[in-house]
Amino acid sequence: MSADRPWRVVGFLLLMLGFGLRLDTAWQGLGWLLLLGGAGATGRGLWLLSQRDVRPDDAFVRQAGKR
Amino acid sequence: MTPACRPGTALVAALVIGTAIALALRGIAQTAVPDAPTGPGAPLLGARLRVWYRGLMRPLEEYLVAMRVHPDALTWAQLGVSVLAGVAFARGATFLAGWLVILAGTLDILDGGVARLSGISGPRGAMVDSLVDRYAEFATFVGLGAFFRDGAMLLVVAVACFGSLMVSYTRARAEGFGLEMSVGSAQRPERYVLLGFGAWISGLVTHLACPLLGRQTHAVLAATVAILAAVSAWTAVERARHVVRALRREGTP
Repeated sequence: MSADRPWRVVGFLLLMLGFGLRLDTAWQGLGWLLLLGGAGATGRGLWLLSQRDVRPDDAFVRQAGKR
Repeated sequence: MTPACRPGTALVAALVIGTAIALALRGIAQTAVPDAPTGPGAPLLGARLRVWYRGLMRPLEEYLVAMRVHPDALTWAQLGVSVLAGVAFARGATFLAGWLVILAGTLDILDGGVARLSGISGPRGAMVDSLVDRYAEFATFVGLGAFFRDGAMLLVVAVACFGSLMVSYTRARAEGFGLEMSVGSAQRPERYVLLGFGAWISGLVTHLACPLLGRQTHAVLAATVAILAAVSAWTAVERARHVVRALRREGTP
């Protein structure tokens, strides 16, 4: 698995959980913490992706022949 | 449980989700698809979307296999997440519940993928998976029922729950007769996506419309559950007709 992909997956997961806690619960502090963590992880994943020599499609779909 | 209207947070969440969906659509459009069923009875989610999501999950499956995660652990995790989704629905946390439904659906896909990759897929695992899936679905619907307990929507939730269970029951009976059962507009992935995204959108609309309406509305969630009830019932009928026709062709009385 490329290094950037887990960061983006974890980042999106944390962002959604953070938004969920912010919108629907009284746990505002934890919601903010998850949002910050998610934004950081997503940002790092996107930065690592930009450093790789890939076609834009590779961000989401593995091209044939690549492993 | 919802503490207040939060239109700003909902707007940012909508932008993040919108961006993720736009990028995903680009990936889906570039996914090559083998021969796929079309026409009546074909799943509502196209083969292209299914192939794309499987491709997205593949590295995660490989990672889980490398970490020696047993598929059963993912199956039980799916049940736990579904129970949490039910609790979230019951407490009116619809955005959170939607996300948990999507997560449960992803775990449902992952357990089978990890079992196949590990070379340990078999009847025992399939049996446990099927049984846990039913409990997981039921747990989510119980939460939805608790949320809509004071109105006629409770009946709609009951119909959706019954329809979902009937879709699976019809397949189980057909396979008991030795029939292949791949037809069905709203199979489990479709139901996960419909309920998960419906709850997501409902949560966002609740907060975005709150300042205008002066109250929270759950009309989108109610509409989602009504659609889910209708498509589940229709899918169960589709499958029943398919089985009866197949048995008639075989000359079974």
